[in-house]
This record gives sequence, structure tokens and C-alpha cells, in this order.
Amino acid sequence: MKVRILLVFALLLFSSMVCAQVDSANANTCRFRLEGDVKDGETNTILPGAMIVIDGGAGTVSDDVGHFHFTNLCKGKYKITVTFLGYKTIVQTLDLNENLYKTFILHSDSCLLESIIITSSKPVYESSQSVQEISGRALDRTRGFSLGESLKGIAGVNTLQTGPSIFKPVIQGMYGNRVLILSNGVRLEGQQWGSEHAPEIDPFIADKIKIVKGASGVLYGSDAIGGVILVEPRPLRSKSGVGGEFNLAGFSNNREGVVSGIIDYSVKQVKGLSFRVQGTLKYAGNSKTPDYYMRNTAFREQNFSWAAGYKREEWGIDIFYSQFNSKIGILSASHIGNRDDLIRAIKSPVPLETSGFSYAIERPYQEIYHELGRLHAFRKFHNKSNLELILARQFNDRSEYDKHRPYKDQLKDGPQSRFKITTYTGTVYLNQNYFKKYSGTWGLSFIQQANTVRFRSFIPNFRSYAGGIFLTERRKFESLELEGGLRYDYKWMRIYKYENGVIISPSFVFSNISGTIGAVKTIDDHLKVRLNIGTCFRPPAVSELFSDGLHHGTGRIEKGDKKLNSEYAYNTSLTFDYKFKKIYGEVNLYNNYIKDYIYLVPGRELDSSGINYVPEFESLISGTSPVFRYVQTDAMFTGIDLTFNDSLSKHFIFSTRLSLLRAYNTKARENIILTPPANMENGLKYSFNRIPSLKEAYLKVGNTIVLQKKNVPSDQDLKAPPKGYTLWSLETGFGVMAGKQELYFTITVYNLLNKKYRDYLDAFRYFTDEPGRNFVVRLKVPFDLSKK
Amino acid sequence: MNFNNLSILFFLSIALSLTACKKDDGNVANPENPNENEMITTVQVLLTNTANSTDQTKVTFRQMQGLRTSLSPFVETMRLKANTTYSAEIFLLDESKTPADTISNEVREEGDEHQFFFKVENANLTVSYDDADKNGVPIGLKNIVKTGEPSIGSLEVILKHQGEEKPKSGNGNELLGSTDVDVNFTVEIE
Repeated sequence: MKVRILLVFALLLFSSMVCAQVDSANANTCRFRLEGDVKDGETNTILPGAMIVIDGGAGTVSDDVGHFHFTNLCKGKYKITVTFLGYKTIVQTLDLNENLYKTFILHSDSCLLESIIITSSKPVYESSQSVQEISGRALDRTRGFSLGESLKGIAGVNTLQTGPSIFKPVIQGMYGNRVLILSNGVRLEGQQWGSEHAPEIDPFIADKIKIVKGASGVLYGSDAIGGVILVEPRPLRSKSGVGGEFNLAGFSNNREGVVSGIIDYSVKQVKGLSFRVQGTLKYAGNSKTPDYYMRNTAFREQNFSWAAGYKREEWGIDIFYSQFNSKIGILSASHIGNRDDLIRAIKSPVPLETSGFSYAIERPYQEIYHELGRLHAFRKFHNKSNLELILARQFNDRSEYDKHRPYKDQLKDGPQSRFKITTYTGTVYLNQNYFKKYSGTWGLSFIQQANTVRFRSFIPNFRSYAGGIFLTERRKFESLELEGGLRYDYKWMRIYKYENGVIISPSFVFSNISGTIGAVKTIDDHLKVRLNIGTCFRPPAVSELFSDGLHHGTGRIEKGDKKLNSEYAYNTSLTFDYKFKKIYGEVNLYNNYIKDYIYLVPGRELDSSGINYVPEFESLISGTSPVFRYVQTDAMFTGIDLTFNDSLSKHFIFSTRLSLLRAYNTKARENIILTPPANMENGLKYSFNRIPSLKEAYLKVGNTIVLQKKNVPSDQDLKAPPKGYTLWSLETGFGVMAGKQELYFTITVYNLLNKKYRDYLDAFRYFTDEPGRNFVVRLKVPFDLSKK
Repeated sequence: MNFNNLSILFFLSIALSLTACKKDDGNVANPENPNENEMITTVQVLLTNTANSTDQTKVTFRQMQGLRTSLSPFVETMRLKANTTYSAEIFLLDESKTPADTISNEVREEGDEHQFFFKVENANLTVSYDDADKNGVPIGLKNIVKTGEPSIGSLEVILKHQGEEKPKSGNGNELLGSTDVDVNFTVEIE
């Protein structure tokens, strides 16, 4: 049945592509494109429904995300008028001799003689990779979620979970060290090697989250084998005065409360000088499955950030600081002493320890501190080139507290392991336009790290230095854009650890060249094709080189191998953007071949007869556990991500996100474990404006279908993959005016039918069901104090 | 909100982050010696013949977990006389320190969170508890061992950390908690 549903969608998609091609016959010579966004200058939010007219003739209205576009324009001068009720009209003349992307910022009509500022006017660079974005109302719908959870709505993006509070983003089957996260342009450097280590980011900082799918080594450096997540804050306020936004969210299931605020201020006396403060508090109790509470799954988070900047037309400088603090309870029943405990815990149909509701966090838990300081400066040149510099320092401090307190009094309340890592990064970009028709980005990057480990040393201390140099160039033809890039990376690392009672300090060098070529072809108004072939390398993580010890979450002894090589990815992706009458979306086909893919396999050793290989076990004082070793193979990740939208009528939109992936170990000829099973998300949205007091009102029914993971080798996992499941959700959103104040509500019921299920990508599927029904209310309060 | 309030807020947060700006206190090139960590390296069982207190046997299971260079643990065989009653005391040691730490003292102090369990296979041997926590539930650091006819088998010694889960009455529940110690001795009754 489920297979049939998938087939129907594949067919539907195929037919829409055929239609689009038929329509492509009427080509003409006027091929320029003008597109952009319309934003509110006070709140910096997007403005759907603004009217954009060129030369008093052709007109359009900005869509749901404040976006508009005109296509098939001829070369020449155009007068553009942007109007929206209650805002000052913008009239602007521009010369069109290439595709342009413009952001129009509208200011409230009531404010006096503020000049209109158009913040950005840059040629459009189309990426030849699939890039998807969450912003505006789509981001509002995820407020209060962690970063990983916020991204779940994108086709091809899943999460690797450890219970209800730890989410790691998975892009096209890859996660952890294979996915790079850039926060405000800085590589996030924490302790990403562990599957129970969530990214240390407050998503409330972001105004926009972008996902670049596939290997992106040239622009972003090593490790970006699976893709890149870009967390982008909104620009500092440009109009003098004070504005901002408050967000509140409440969750019924774990009785979680979230408060977040952002205040922007631009100094009237000094034009271009702006400040921002931002902060978030989260407080959550135990989550509840349909049958029981998940004991000790409460968590807290306190984050804040500030920024200050001075910006002129030709140059600007800004500083940014953010701090992230979290304390996360780990499900009591998941922390076990040895293999026998683990097998007993897995056999038990309900967790061995459950409880009532509580906000208390007891052992085991994690405590994480992350801070980031960043200096950013840019200088623009007359020929549209610019130079950009980013310097940053990050410090990450991670403590893990086992269920069992240490025996000795002096250690009693301390953690069992503690990791501290300090990272300095520096990047210089030159976005150049020197040569006619060519444009590109050249750059240099540098990274230095120092890591120290205390108590139980699962990984060693290390120090590393790495540098990269890269160059990308683009050439535009009429409807075709070609791009190519090259990069060289070098990394030196020295580790320090005790072996046989003495300190050893071997050093490692990894260096590599990566490259990319790509093309974007606009076939016609209905179809755009992107093709990208890129390579990327990833040096083995220190955990893969040096792990040695019992991993408490999995009840196995994990052993690194210091002879591991770098992984090398060859990624091909083909993306179709289609828009045909009422149907639009994206199809992304990809193949990511990874040479020397690093993964864990059960160890094997000769038995006493010396003939047969048997599983390798090791005895510790706490019992006997199987040994798993990091080894290398070659892997092939092949899949399709599909985004499909159909405006059935003026009020109804049907949408589907589908991702299918085959992750195959080509040497061992078996599937790779812990990759996402086939999954699909459907939604039917009804937008209405019958009630005059409600703005942007909608009702939405959603469902998520996840199939069972099949054909995975059984000796690498303790339990067979759980059954597939279907979840339903119901959501409504609307804006109301309370006096002069706008309020935006989103009310959602997740897991509407209180379905009992387990998820293959949740490490706690061994022990517990997933949370049951969850009512969530979100409120956004944008404000601007300079209006009066 | 006026300008003053905002600037106060802003400078407050800057001040906060300056004080917060943390440094890595460790020295990367001087890693912590794993021996400085707390661990149980050794389980000892001291058996005293109740009829003759000079008749003592001590058996040891030792594995220097932090210095896992030799993987197989050092284990002694428990040799006991047939049809004899012994009092058996268990010691848990951390021999990576000098002098060795006696972790079993802490187990006794936290008796209401811990309990030993014993499993006998093939040997004619019974183990019964001879101590109790403040609730009257056995801990298992002190026991009575009775041997029967000559035989060969094994004795498994398990220590569970049960925290608040440990029963407040009765004889304990082996199924609760996480395992701190799980070692096997060969038993020869002669």
C-alpha cells in the first residue's frame, strides 16, 4: 500500500515534468530575470502581499515568503513601483542588463521622511547544488525546537535522536562529522563526534536557516561531505530607532516553556551604528509516551547573544558574541553498566525505570557550555567586488555525568568525563568581478584547535592547525551559468595521551585537493536544471583514531585505529526546479560515493581451534562486552529528495516531501546501518480570509509516513529496526491585532492520534517509545517603538 | 524603552560575556594520567574458616582497566575445603593508586544504594548474606559460604548500583540497577 502511494507520487511528478518540457517551446530573446524580497524595515520581517509593478504595466504580488519575480524581461531601463497598504511606496529606476536580485525594504507610512534604503542589490548567483531554506512563517512554526528538529520539514533532512531532547541533523543520510554547521559564517566547532552530542546553537538567533545538500568542500572546507547547514541571523537594524520581537512557546507533552526575545537598536545620531541583544530560556520536564513518562528526560537551556555594528556604504565592521548553556537529563533506563544490563533493558517492553512527571534532572545528564565571539568586516570596491574578513573564537565545555556518582567524596558531584575545546578560525573572502562576464569567490581560511579531556578519556588531548586556499569562478551565458572551483587543504594534528604509563605524542598530517564543477540551465519559465559534481574530504575524527573504551549508550567497547585515512567523497547531484501552472517544487537526485568511508564493525578473532572466526569480546571488571572497531570501506549513498506543491484552488495547497535513500557498503556488499528509512511528509493547507480580524490565517492537516528500515546487517545492531509508522498533525496559524500590536499565533497538535511508535534513528528505540500527543502554542510579538 | 535603558541592557550583556569568556584551563601537552581516575581494578574475596580463624584463603581478580595493555585479567582460583563453613568478605580496590584505595568502604557507606549478588554454577556451594543496610536489606560485602561435597564449578560476583531503586525491605532485587562489577572465579572444592 505504502509503496503504491510512493509510486503515485513519482508518476505525478514525472507527468508534471513532461508537461513542463512541452511548454518550453516558446523561447524568446528577452531572458532576463528580476527577483527579490520585500521586507518590513521596522521588524525586518518578510512582507507577503506587496504589489510590485514595472513601468506601470506588468505587476505581481509578493508570495508567502515575501518573494517576487519577473521573468523574460528585455534589456533596458525599468521603473519599479513597490506598494503595500500602510507603507511608503518605493519608486526606483534600474538598468537591467543581467539577472538581478533585489530586496526592497518598506517603511511604515506613519514615520516621517525616513529615506528608503534598499539594502542589497546584487546579481543572482544560482547555486548548482540543491539549497533549501527555512525562514519567515515556516521558521515561526518551528520556534522552540532545537536546530535539528527545526530542519525536519525539508526533504532529505532527518534527525538522529537520543531521546526527546537531543537531535542531530542528518542530510541525505549523513550526520555528525560529515555535516558542517556554519553559525553566522563561522564553522561550529564543538564535540560533534558523538551521536548524543547535539549542535550547540540557539535557533532563535536565526532569521533564516539554509541547507546545502551534498559535498560542498570547496567553499566550506573539509568535512562537508553530506552537506552544510547555514544558520543566518537577520542583518542589524538599518533604520534608526528600536524594534524587535518576542517569542513564546508552550508544549503540553513535557510541559515545556520557551521565552525568547530580540531587541534591535539603531542610533539616530550616528547613522549606520546599530546594536542588538537577544536571549532565550527553555525549561522542560519529562516527556510522556502514550503509556508512561520517560524518566529523567527534563532539560533546560539558557542562551544569549549580542551584536554591534557600524556600516557605511563602502565598508562596515561588526562584532557578535553568543553563549549557549544547556543541561539535559538522559533517560534513566538507558544508562547501563554492562552488556547483560543492556540486553535486559532491551528485552523489557517498557523502560526498566519510569516515573511520574517531574522537572528535576538527576544523573545521568549532560552539561554543555558553548561561546562564540566573532569579528566581521567588509570593504566594497567600485567594480562591485568586495573583501570580507571573519575572525572567530569558540570555546566548548562538555561534561557528562554518569548515572552512578563517583565513589570518592572529593569527586562525588563531578562529571565522569569532561571535554574542553578551544577553536580559532579566520577566513578572508574576495568576491571579485574584475573580469567581464566572470565573477567568483577567492579565499583563505585558517583553523586552530586545542582539546583537553579529563577523567574518563574516551578521546585524547590534541592540538591541530589547518589551512585552506580556494578559488571559485562563474561564467554566465544567456540562460546558462557555469561554475567551477578548486581548493587545497592541509591539516596537522598532534595528540597527547598516556600509553603504558608514559605520554606519547604522535602527529598526523592530512592534505587534499577538492574540486567542484556545476551548471545551471534555465530551460524556460517552468523548468530549471542544476547539475553539480563536487568532491570533498574528511580527515578521520580523533574519536575514530583513538576511541578506546566502553561506550555507555551502546554497551560495547569501541576501538579506534590510528592508521585510518581521510574519507574522500565524489558527489553528483541533479536538481530540477519546476513550476507548472499550479504545481511547483524541486526534485533532487544524488549519488555520493565515499572512498574509505569510516564505520564501526563488530570485531572478529580466531577461536581456540585457530580455524574459525568468532565475535571478539573483552572482559572488564564490570563485565564482558563485545568489541567494535573503526574500519574503512567504500560507500555509495544514492537517493532522491522530492518537494511537490499543488495549489489545488485559491484556498487549498497540497504539499509533499519525500526522501528515499540507499546507503550501500560496496566492499562488504551490505547496507549501511543507521541511515534514514524511506519517509514522506504530506500536508493539506487551507488558507482563509473570511474572518476580517485574522491575518494570514490557515488550517493545516499533516501526516508523516516512515517505513521500516529493511535489509540491514543484523550483527551490527542490538535490535532489529522498529516497524514503520504514520503520524498525523493538525495546525492553525493566524495574526491578530491587539490594539496596535500585532500578534501571530501558531497552534499545533503533534502526534494527534497519540500513536505509540519507535523511530529507527533514535538511539533510545532500544528502551522506550517516542513521546505521545503534544499540544504546542506559539506566539510571536513583533514590535517597533519608533513608529510613534 | 528609552535609549538609557537599552544601553544599560547592552553593556550589561557585554559585561556578562566578558566575565563569562572562559579559557581552557588544561595543558594540552600534559594529559591527565588515566591512573588518577577513580576505578575499580581489583576484586578480592577473603574467606575465613569459621571453625579455624587461621585457615584463610584470599582470591583476587585484577584488571588495570585504565592501563589496558594486557587485556586478559589476572584471576585466581578459589580452592575451598569440602563441607566447611567460611565467612567471606569482599574488598574492592583501586590499585592504580599508591597506596591502593579501598572502594568497598564507600560501598558500605552507600549500602542502601548497592547490593552484591552471587551466582554459583556446578560447584557444591551456597552463599548467604551476613550484613545489611540501614533498611535491613543485605549489602553482600560480608557473607557466609558453605561448601558441600568435592566439586568444580564457578562463582560469579555481581555488584549492582541501584540508587533509590534499591528495595527498602526484603532480600533485594537483582534485576534493578546498573552493573559496577561482574567477575567470575573458578571454584575447586576438595
